[in-house]
Amino acid sequence: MARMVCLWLPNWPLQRLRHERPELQSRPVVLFSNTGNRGPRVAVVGRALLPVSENKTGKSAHPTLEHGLTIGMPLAEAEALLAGHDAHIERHDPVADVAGLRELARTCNSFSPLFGIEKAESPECVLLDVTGCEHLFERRPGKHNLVAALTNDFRQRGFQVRAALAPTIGAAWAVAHCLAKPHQQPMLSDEELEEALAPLPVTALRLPLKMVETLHELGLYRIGQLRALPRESLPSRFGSELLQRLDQAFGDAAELLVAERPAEPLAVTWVTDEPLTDRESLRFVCRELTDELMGQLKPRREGVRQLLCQVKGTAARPVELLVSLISPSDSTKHLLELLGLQIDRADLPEGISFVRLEATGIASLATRQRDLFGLEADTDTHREVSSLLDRLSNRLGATAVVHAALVPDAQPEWSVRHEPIALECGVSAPLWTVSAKRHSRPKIQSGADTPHSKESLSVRPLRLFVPPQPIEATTAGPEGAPIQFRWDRREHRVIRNWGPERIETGWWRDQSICRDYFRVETQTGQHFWLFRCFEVAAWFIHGAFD
Amino acid sequence: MVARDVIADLSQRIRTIERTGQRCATKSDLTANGLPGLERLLCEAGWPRGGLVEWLAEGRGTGSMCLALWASRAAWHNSLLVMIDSQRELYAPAAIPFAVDLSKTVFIRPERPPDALWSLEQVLRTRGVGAVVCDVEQLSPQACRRLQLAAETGGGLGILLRPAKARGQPSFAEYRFLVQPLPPPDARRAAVVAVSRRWRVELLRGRKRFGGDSVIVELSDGPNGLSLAAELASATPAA
Repeated sequence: MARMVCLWLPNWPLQRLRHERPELQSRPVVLFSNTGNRGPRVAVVGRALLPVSENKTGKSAHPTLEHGLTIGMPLAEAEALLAGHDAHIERHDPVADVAGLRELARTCNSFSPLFGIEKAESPECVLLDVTGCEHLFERRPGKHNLVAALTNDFRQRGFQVRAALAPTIGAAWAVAHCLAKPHQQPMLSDEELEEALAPLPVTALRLPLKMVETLHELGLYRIGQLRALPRESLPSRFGSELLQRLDQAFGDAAELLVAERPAEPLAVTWVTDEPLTDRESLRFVCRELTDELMGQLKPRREGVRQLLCQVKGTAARPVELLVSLISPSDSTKHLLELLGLQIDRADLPEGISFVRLEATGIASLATRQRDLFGLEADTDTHREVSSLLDRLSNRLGATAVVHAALVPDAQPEWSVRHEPIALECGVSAPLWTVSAKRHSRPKIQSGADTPHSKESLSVRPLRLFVPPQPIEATTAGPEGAPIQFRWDRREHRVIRNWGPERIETGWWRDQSICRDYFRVETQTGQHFWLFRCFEVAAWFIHGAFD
Repeated sequence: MVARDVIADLSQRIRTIERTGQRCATKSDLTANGLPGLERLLCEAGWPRGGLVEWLAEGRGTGSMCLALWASRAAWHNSLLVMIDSQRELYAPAAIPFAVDLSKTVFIRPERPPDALWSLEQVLRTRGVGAVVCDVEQLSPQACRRLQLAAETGGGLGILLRPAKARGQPSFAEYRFLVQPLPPPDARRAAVVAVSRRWRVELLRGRKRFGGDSVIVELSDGPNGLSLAAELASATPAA
């Protein structure tokens, strides 16, 4: 019989979310969905693994979790229960869950050529057909078997998994859910199948909830009990699905694994015996390669968003040049220009004999609709601006070309966050509409509705020194405003001051602050932003009103 | 009347000749000046699109950037503003009062001064950029000429913030101003409520007029935002 591995990622929606956003690791997370017309309901909740024992005994399909939360309870109730627990609440996104699991499955191609995800409403398992692959792993030193290696691989990437190997998909699923432990992966042979599955609960058969309840009402809790019943009586009592699942688990009916296809890399390579010696020749090679790459992309109506260029010389390590674009482009000229900027600055190896160009990011091109009233010129400007940003990002580095996003934080140095434009922009919309809508997270505000929006001189200095610079200051009293201070090798006498403005952060911060800010005007008419720091009882200059 | 028309026409033609591009300074080539009082120092009714304006000041905290942003805030209305920040000091929230929309603002933070100059030229050359603000310490005449040509190609306004010691250097900018903060009049020292600042803005040189004139500008926080505090003092330079 075949050899199947089931890799179960318990509570996958949460695991995915925590993997994407590590800052949620220690916080309780609640995902809600709007099904039916009863308002938002809790769909997924938790901090760690779902208690498996609940499934095993099959007593409750909706286990009660910490803080008294249950699946399906109204969101408002959950919010009340979680008040003060710093919980993260978000809408459940089942589509992203499936896509994430698919992507995860594709990373398994070093273990088996056939891999996919389970067919279910909300899948949580990756399935692998490892028939004929096991012996490849037994000979490796330090690795006992394929399943252990697979589990370790996932664990190292930060996922919690349960895995099992069995002759059928159904059996692997059942064993992974009921018998597998974090560090113990059961492996069933054909002979052990019958014996191992008999004591497992009926929920291990992947049955719908309603049927499980019916079985429980009749006193049928174990798979063994079902096997003991006359086979022909089952469909008339429970429908055809029960028999089908039973047969699939024991290998009497076939079950198809829908394999994911690994994404094909789009790359072109150039190899020579006569090594290149100058940058100009490299540029020429790159032009040829880019032309070839674009030729492959054109029929697909796609453009490049990210281009990786590997250059190998006599040195062992290849040099990698990465070109990222704001919006996908199919223009050879533009890509070459960006690549050229990198080639100019890169430390290229001696005697280049191998160049590989790979389109690591591909996106469909924006459709260019011609407008009757001459708006074409406007899109030209947009294109010119995004080409400018591409050039800047590629020469100066992505982190040097940024947008500023306001964060509602009392501490001035934390109240703005710089986000690289190259990594975040969308595909086809003009630059600014994308940047404004990009984040729907409630924490980020756009400029218009913040307390800074009023036209005023008194808000904050245009230049902020991070970190603040210590100064020596003379004050009018122990709690008073500064009269004189020394900064930048010069003595400044204060003639006017505005303040104090107390800025304090809460104790829950790692490093809470308590500062009294003064805006001061010196005798030369310069305006500075000074503060008294209460933690260290010293004065600092934090900015200049330039 | 007729003579004035003739002079206007002639000056228009001179402008056309002076500019390298095919454009000429019609009204649409100007961005409104946002600082009443300053127009006495300008030869046109606003800031030239596709030109450079230098703002010189001595030391930090003088408010030259605040004045420059306030005066030219119409330039980034509905278009992109680029701020080149090699010191990594610009504080974005503080720019919002100057009609800066952060979603239409790009901050460039190069690590080396040559990169800053390269970025400045690239940005100026791009159509669709309303204005670019950049600190420029050293600028050779050749580099300045390149920047000016780039600005003419792109059509944006280049705002260069420079130290006062640059006043002797040759320049291709449309205007070069020196901003000097002035202490408040003695009467107001006692009663400090709203923040107010006074400056003397001196035109050191302009492309089309001689320098030497100056105005005194005062900005203060009013109930409806920033305002010019009082009628301006006469433009007599200090003796």
